[in-house]
Amino acid sequence: MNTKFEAAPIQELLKSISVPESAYEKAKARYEDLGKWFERQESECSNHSPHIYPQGSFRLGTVIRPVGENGEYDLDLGCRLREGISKGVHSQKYLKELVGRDLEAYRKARSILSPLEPKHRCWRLAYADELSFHMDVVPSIPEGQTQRLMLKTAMVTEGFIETLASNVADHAGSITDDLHPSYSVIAANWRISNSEGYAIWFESRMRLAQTLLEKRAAARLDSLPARNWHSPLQQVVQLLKWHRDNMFQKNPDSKPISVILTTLAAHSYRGEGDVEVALANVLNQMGGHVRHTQPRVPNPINPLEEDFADKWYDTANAHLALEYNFWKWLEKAKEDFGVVATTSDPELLEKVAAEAFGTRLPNRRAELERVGPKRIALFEKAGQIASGARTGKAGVIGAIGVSNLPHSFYGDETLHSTDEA
Amino acid sequence: MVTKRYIPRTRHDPGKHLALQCVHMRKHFPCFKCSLMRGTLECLGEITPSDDCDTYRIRIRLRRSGTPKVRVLNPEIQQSSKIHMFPTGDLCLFDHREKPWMEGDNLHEKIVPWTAEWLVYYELYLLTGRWLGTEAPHGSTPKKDQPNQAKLDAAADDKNN
Repeated sequence: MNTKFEAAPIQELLKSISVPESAYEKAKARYEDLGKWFERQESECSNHSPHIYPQGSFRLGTVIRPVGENGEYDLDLGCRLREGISKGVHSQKYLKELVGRDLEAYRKARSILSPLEPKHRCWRLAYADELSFHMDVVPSIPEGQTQRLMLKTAMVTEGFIETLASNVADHAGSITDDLHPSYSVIAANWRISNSEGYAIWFESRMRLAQTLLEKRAAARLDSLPARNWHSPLQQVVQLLKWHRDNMFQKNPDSKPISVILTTLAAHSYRGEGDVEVALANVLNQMGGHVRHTQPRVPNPINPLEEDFADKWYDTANAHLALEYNFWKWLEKAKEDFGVVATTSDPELLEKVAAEAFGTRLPNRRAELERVGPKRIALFEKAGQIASGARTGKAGVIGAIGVSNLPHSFYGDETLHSTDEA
Repeated sequence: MVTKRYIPRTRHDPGKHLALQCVHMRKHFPCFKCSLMRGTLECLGEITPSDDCDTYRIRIRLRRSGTPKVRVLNPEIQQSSKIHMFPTGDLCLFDHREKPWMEGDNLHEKIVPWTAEWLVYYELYLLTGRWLGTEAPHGSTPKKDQPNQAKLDAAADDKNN
């Protein structure tokens, strides 16, 4: 039986880039294990009410399979010490090293071979058994009352509704950054970070399709982890990231960062229930959400102070041509997704699928080979009907037989039922 | 005698009209097996409206003084508001408000060719998600019987893409 094939190629692609549920389970087991480690009595952090939680794509439910054979998953984790550390008494360095000591002990206890690696804002632990993970652990403490109020006000000014802004601001935290001028001294101006708040904002965008999602899942969204929402917005972000990862496989430092893609996609999303439609709309709209002046791509939940695109105009990164690469990527993505969704040429499809997506889309190709010529033949047939066709003895529409008289196919559903009655 | 001339003969003898339809169908569309029983003409046959299309098993029924009912028996057609089908599964082939079925109308001249057209547009609908045949707009004055060229033109991109 025939099927509509418009939907197929994107779905096929999504299936090939999504992560198995087991990877999420594994990630969860990892950070829960780490959480327990921080809570044990010998842990230095245990006095500070530690909380380990996922952030980034594992939190948002937008993880994709790593590109390439030996790719690793990035598992971004927050490590929030909720009590006993304050900016008036402790330095960023103190917090970073406090968390680092417990992580080092964890590494030894779990026999992780690669050393604990300090990054500017986090600790990296490479955990490899059957699934390779990079765990990036970001130490933080809760943000003060005044800062939260300021964040909330800034969000409301940008058009957030009050309750959402409040909810988001409550999760704000101060993080450590060894490039910060006052990294080693007592200072009040730590960097603000709010991954959980960002996730709440992202969810508010996904919820534009709430009714549809709940119907599909037969459950309240709030009872499901974000990854199980399988919302069109999440799927769009996965597709964009996958295309980007393939395009920048050889020079990953130049690629547009995930948070920029995610933010622009979420701004562009209008609640479309259908992933193909959502993708087409997002690709068309997302460029328009890049501002002409700084901040170019503001963090929606910290619009005054954080520009996700700050590296675009940072001279130290000029050699990476980040802005140029963003626009180049966007153009290419429009073109490549356009081909995958609409082409009737199996050769072109195969080329684009291999080059831009590192995949084969065999079903789509087979479908095209089957229906490509048919599509053309049917349109020709319809043209013939429009200009006066005949119906042959076997019911074939063509040039011979009974002349097809003009008529119109009638009515809509309601009229149909009335007629029948 | 004189008045009798003004009344069509078939009106007096609907059975004869059905028999005539049966003869026409057998002559023009031997792909249908037609039988006339208890005042109903039933034609069963298979239509492949175009080389690339599936083959559809069709049943046409015409009762005395009735409107023809056409149904696709196989393969199963999924109901959709986008395709022209009654909830019973019968196909909507023409706008009866504009030109109701008359006893002088012939199955072989109208119903079979229109069914073949319906199948072409149905297969196009499966590929494009749209009905590209001429439609009588809902709730307004029926359109004149113009082939829907504009619609086809609009969809021409689909063919080429």
